[in-house]
Amino acid sequence: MLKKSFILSNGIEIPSIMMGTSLCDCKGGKRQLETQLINSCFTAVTYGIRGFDTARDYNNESLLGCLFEKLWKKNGIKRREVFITTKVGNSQQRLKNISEQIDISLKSLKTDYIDLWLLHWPYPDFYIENWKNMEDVYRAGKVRAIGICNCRERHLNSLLNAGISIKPMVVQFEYHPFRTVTSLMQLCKEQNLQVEAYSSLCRMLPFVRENEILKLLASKYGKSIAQIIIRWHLQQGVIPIFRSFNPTRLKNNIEVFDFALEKDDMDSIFALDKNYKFHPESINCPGF
Amino acid sequence: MIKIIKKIKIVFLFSTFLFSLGVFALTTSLIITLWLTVILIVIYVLTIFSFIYINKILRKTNWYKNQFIDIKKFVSGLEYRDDLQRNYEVVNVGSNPAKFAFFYQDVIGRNWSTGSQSLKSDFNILKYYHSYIKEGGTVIIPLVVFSSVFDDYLITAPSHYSKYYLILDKTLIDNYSLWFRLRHVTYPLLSNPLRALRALLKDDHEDKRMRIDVQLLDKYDLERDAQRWVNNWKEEFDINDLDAPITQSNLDRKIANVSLLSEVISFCLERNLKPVVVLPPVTRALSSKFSETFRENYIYSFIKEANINQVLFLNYFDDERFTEPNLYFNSFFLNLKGRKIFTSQVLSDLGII
Repeated sequence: MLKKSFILSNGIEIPSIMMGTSLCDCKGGKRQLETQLINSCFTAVTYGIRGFDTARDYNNESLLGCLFEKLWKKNGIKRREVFITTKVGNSQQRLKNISEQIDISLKSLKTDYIDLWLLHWPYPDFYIENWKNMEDVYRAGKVRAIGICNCRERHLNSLLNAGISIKPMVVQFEYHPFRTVTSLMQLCKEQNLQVEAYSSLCRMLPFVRENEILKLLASKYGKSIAQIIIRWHLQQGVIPIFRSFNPTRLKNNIEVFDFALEKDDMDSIFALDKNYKFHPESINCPGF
Repeated sequence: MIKIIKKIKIVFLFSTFLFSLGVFALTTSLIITLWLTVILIVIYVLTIFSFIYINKILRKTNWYKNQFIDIKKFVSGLEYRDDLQRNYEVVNVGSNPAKFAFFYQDVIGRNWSTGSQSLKSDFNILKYYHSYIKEGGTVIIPLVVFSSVFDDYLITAPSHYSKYYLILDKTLIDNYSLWFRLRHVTYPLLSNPLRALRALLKDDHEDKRMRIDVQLLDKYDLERDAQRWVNNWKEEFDINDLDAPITQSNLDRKIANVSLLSEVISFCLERNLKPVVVLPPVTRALSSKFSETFRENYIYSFIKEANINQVLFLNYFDDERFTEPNLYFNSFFLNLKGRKIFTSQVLSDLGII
């Protein structure tokens, strides 16, 4: 039976499924989207999801802070039951005041520690120095784990060879059946870095929804395409991050612990790789 | 006693008169002030609305649109949510000769030349957009005769530089200024009021050069056009004799550009992209103006010094296959027909098609 949580290299337990909270790619009015997000987060909690992924650049730390406060005070959820991830963005990286940035996030999220704090981008000329400052924040106990997002092998290798004293515990990047970045995954495995996948369902773009292999597997296992993909992530030990405003879809997406994909089927999903990135990195991180 | 009462009456009447006059004057001035305020507010509001409206119209003029004609080539900002094309097989950067040299038909390719474009801007475009290129994809870096001594300041004129405000991140724009953006992008009336008003009265022609598929000049005009280009360059780069040794100021720029080109090549290689340096063709009328001495001093030595990674260099400068004037629309730029033939040849030479 697949575990509902994984253990990071520093012994910290992390949920095996994570709820994404970015509204950056959503279309619609800000107020309406925020309401939908909060409602879906509450729904997620009722379904048992305990991991939430946000970032300073999502502009919703305060909003989620209010949500968490309600969870502690009104819903009887304990802080230690929820795993909160946030990230430090490029504009903050430019300021080089990492120790101040964590305090801003803590205040906004209305908590006294962050479970996982990530560098949002390997921002050229800044990320290595900022990583070393993040190590101090980790040592101070304000965050339980640290990691980096959106890196390629060259970024990870540069970081690992830059005389850092703490290796990332988590690496988060776009990962789904259509982008399997084999050598990066291999490096993460070798270095014992937990992988988190954003856009884990490849946004369910038309070519995902209409993919014959995925449709066939969905039919074979009596599951949805999304469930097949999420299960594919979990069976590799990868934490999928997804977001849905639709309660039924949200519920379906976590009902993935009652079946297992056969090896051949796992392989046929791997074979779908075409290195498709929904998020072109350099647009968000010039010089990436 | 009666006299005193009379005097008091007179004083009282006079005071009442003066008071009434004062009240009248005060009321009148208040009304006038009020009216003036209303009029000023109306004028202010009308001015604001007229300003916004005139700028809205200006942004629809060819004068304005021609400055930003090439930005449609880029999927910038959040447009990637709707434009799902990724993994471009080949892209090119470069200045005007590159803009008119590449036309991708049978491959997923993008021409990222925006007209006047320095090597530094090429680099910035690559820094911002390279994630659209597939792993191992080709980046064509086209050079022109004076690329080695070109300096960014030569095209920092607002009409050439404002386009980058719409396609690049502000961290990649030298001396980024919100005021510049407001003047030259959002409210073009502020950029050059006289020129803008002229565009309103008599608009420029739409830039249709990309659609031209014939040579517009006869043999005589072609020669004159080639000579005009050479004269302009000589003036621009302060060169009297093309065959003379390179001047110190040009040498300084060349050294900087060697470093920059080398950096662009390394940037591509580090990202598993395949950079290729290409010298596009020109008409014989133009290529004949440049001796071997010039070419060695300004072109080949530049490429050799910068190409420390020994990437492929394809030289079509006076390639016999592209000397036919009918492939160009002047002495310098390929026309649509020439562009298609040339691009096919380059892609074939690169083994892409």
